[in-house]
Amino acid sequence: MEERADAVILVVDDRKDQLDLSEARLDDHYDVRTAQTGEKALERIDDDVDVVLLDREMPGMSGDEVLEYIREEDYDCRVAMVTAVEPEIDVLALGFDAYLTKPVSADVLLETIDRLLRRSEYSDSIAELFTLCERRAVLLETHTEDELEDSAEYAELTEKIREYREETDDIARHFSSEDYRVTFRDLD
Amino acid sequence: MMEEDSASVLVVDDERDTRRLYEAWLSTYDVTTAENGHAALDRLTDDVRVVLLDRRMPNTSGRAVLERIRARGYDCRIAVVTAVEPDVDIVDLGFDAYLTKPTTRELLLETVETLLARDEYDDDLRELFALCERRAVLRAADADLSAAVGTLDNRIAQIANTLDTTISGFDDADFRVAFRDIGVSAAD
Repeated sequence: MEERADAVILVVDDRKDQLDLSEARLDDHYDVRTAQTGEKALERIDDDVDVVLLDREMPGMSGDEVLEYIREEDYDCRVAMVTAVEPEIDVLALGFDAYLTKPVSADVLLETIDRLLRRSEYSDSIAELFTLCERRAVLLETHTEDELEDSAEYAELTEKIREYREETDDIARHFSSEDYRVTFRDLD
Repeated sequence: MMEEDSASVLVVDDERDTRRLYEAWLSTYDVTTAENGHAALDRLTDDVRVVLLDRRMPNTSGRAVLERIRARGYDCRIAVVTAVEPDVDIVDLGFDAYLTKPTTRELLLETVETLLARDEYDDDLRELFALCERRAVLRAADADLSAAVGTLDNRIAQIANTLDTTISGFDDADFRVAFRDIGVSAAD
């Protein structure tokens, strides 16, 4: 499993022992923050957070409310609900990225975070590819191939596009089989 | 393509007539104008989705504005609109689209629409993953949630269609090939 030591994970749970357990499991792999209430979670979230592990049932502000806040504020993080509640139809209205039913094993926890981080990386890589290809399209429209052939900058751009294509490709190859199907629209 | 009629667009040009013209053309959007680079940086907020940026302005050039927008980490798409024929020096200019003046109403509108669609791509892709994950959760649930699954099927098909339209609307063959290639190579 690939690890991104710089990825920031925010764990939200009202039970201290659950927080400690998650922290122990994740600490070697990621930069971990914890919050014992929904209110504290709002204080500790910022643009650096990549993944939130969010308990659904908490006294005071619930996980659903925290999730709603995160989406309203447009934080660019992925949220995994962690819950003892069997999913009902109400999950349709929730904007989570993954749903874990307690008890969650260490493997499932790490695998889920990995999956969500990989999706973010894929999106970022695609966005960069969009921009680079656009730039090349402009050059191709306005210059002859001979002119571009002599340009070190153009060669560099083309090389960068190749790198990002490979990177995008590489991320997708490591997707879970389900995410892979989603990416290439095998959706049934 | 998704309608983004109220999306916020910032027009930066030192010529008043040009600003007025673009503003009239873009009447379906929420348009803010700036007469120089300084004003542009002042008026830029996180809500601005697309910036139309004149390259040649007195004092702060388009390039300087562009670099500052990127350095400040704003998440907007930037179209350079310019009378300057692009040279290879644009390779390291971080724009998302390049329009040569004089431009037309159709071209300007098309550019803004394309950039908004690409801007949405990230969010839509995240949403697609999330919807598929939600569907898997509901399918695995004990209760009969088949009606909810049906609702999700429709939303998944819609969003997949939007994503595919954005990709196929992209001129650069390399970009489209990147998607097909991944599909083919990993299926081996």
